[in-house]
Amino acid sequence: MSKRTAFCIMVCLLIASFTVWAAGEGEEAAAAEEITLSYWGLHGDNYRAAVEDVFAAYNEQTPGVTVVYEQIADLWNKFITALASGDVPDFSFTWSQTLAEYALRGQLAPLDEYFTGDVTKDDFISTLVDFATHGDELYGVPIYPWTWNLYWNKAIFQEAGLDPESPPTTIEELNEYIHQVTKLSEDGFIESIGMMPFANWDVYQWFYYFGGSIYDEETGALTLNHPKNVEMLEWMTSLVADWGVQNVQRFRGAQGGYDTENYQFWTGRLTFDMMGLWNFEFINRFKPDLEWGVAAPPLNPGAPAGTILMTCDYNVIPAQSKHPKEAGDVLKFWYEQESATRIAYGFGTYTPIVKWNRDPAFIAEHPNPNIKMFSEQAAGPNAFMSPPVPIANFVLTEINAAIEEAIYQVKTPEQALNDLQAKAEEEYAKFKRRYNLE
Amino acid sequence: MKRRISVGLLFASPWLVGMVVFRFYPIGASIYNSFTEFDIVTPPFFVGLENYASLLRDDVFWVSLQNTIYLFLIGLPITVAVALFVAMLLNRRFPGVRVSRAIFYLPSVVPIVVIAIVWRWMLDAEVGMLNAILQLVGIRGPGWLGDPRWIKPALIMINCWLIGDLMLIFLASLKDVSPQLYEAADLEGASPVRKTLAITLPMISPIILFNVIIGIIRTFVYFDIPYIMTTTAGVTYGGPLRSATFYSMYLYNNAFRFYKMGYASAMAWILFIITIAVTLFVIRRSSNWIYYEAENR
Repeated sequence: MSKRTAFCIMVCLLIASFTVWAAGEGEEAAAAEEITLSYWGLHGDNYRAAVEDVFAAYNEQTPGVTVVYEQIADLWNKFITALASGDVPDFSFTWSQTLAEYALRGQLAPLDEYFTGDVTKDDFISTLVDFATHGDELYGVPIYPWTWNLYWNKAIFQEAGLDPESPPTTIEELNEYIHQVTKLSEDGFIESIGMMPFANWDVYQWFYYFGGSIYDEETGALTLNHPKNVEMLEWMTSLVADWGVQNVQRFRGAQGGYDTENYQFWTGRLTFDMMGLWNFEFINRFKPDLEWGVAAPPLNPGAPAGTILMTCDYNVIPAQSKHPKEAGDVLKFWYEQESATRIAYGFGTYTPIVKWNRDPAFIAEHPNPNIKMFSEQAAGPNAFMSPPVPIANFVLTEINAAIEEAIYQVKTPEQALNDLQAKAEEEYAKFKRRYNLE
Repeated sequence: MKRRISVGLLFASPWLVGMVVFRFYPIGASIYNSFTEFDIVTPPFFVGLENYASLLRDDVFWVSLQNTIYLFLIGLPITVAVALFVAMLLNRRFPGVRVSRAIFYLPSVVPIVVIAIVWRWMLDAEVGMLNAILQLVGIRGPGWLGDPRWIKPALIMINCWLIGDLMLIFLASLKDVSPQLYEAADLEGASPVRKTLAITLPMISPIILFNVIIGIIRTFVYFDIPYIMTTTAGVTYGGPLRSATFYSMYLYNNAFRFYKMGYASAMAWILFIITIAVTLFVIRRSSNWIYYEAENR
């Protein structure tokens, strides 16, 4: 190849490169007008459809912006990896247990500025907003709030000679009913049991029903060995002692998950169940002919009226989001009445906005006949959530372990909770020291 | 010559870069991280030996280590013995032997998640197949997954069901044992037990050692089955009273549930040292019972 030919080829290549580059620039300029927002979600089919409907409505009314729902299978790990790398979604779902941790480490953007119009922070259920507020700034907005209630099997009530329309309202009554409906076989094995409160999800809720707590909102301190918590754990330990530790362990070894046909509440081997309001959907799916009732959790005289657990996951905007304003605008739209109602119906729950829940049309058209009661419980002053501390995951894991140590008689209830308090305090102190939160 | 080396390095560079970036760097980083408090999203904060000191005081660390050692001392010998026994059975000629080999190997190709869920049902205290069989002979089976005394034996039982790959390796080594040795033993009137002890086991002893070492490594990183089985609703995570919290599960918890990556890195290095030490110990002690045919020719 002569030098001249080689030179010509190089010039042609150079021109071609410039042409391609220029075309790319043009495309980028066009793309700059069109914004695509990514939302990371982790919802089941029905739930996801509701969110996608809301995004479709937003996309239709907002030219130049397209919100895309991305279903992220391992969101728990991928979200933190995204935060570490800076390659984050514009906004995302996140679990309540991790919200405080991300917020206090400066990984989330405050959302207050987006809730000053038709829907303000004050319109939200206060427990949900308080949970996501750190240093007077709001770092997450609730997606689907659930309240936890006592479900009971009316047929078993009737069989045991109890009034099927009168559920227990105090712990004392509950204890009495549990013993009344529990059946042991001739050789002493459990055939059916009134309730296994120690096997509950979010088992810490029972501390509150006894008048205890695990976190002091005023001082920000953990109160895991509160005297009322000890009282509650003594009650659970006495239940297990009445039936025998190994007997209970065997019964627990037969407890199918609530999302299976074999779940003991469906099969009539469990009379009471403390569950979130999604239970309605599961009863209809697995045991539509079950005669059941639902009522507020029974309380000890020391517990304030209306004490009830709420759980909820949140929408957040990462601090490094490329389009925080646009993502905030979508969130504003999410909580407008029509979209919030669509999401609530999709998730089978009430909305996080008190005024939308009070709309008679919302209640009338809701598939769950108890939705009014649930939404009113949530708006009450004594609804509570898990502790808004950054080591919530650690604390909740250790609470389960401490409860097992007590009920299986490895430690006394007091010793188990004192050890738990010491362990959690040490971990919390470490966190505060590390992030200068003292 | 220099040019040839450069060209060689250039062609090998994708592998070299991959090795450095995805192997050596993470290994080096985890050593450093083990001396820090590291939450993944903010820069590591140097704390010296504090993670290692905290581990020594951490009761869950010791429980998880005890559970793993239980699996190593009790579960591993049982699993290897079962795999060897099945391989010896399937090494015999009988009608349907090929189908039998496929049946025993089949569980090894089933996804772990499916295995864990299926066994979760089989071990159910009331409607599980295992207790139903025990009931036929008048035994009221235990709550396998609810009882801290039974959950580890239940997991060992599952491991014995998953012997496909160990069995296959044993089977291949059994095929390699010279038939002349058995013929000579037959002429001497040796019993089947004598032939097994004097011929089969010594001849396949290097393969037994290989399977034991593979088993040691697997035991110390045992994670997926207990993790899946104890994260389904109805079972305490990590088993009742942490009886099925194995070392890798606790390590995972610290890294990805509690975001204590520095602490988890310290755990990983301790695990590495334990695994190396146990493996070296087994290799060193193996000279007493292992027989290398090639060395004796």
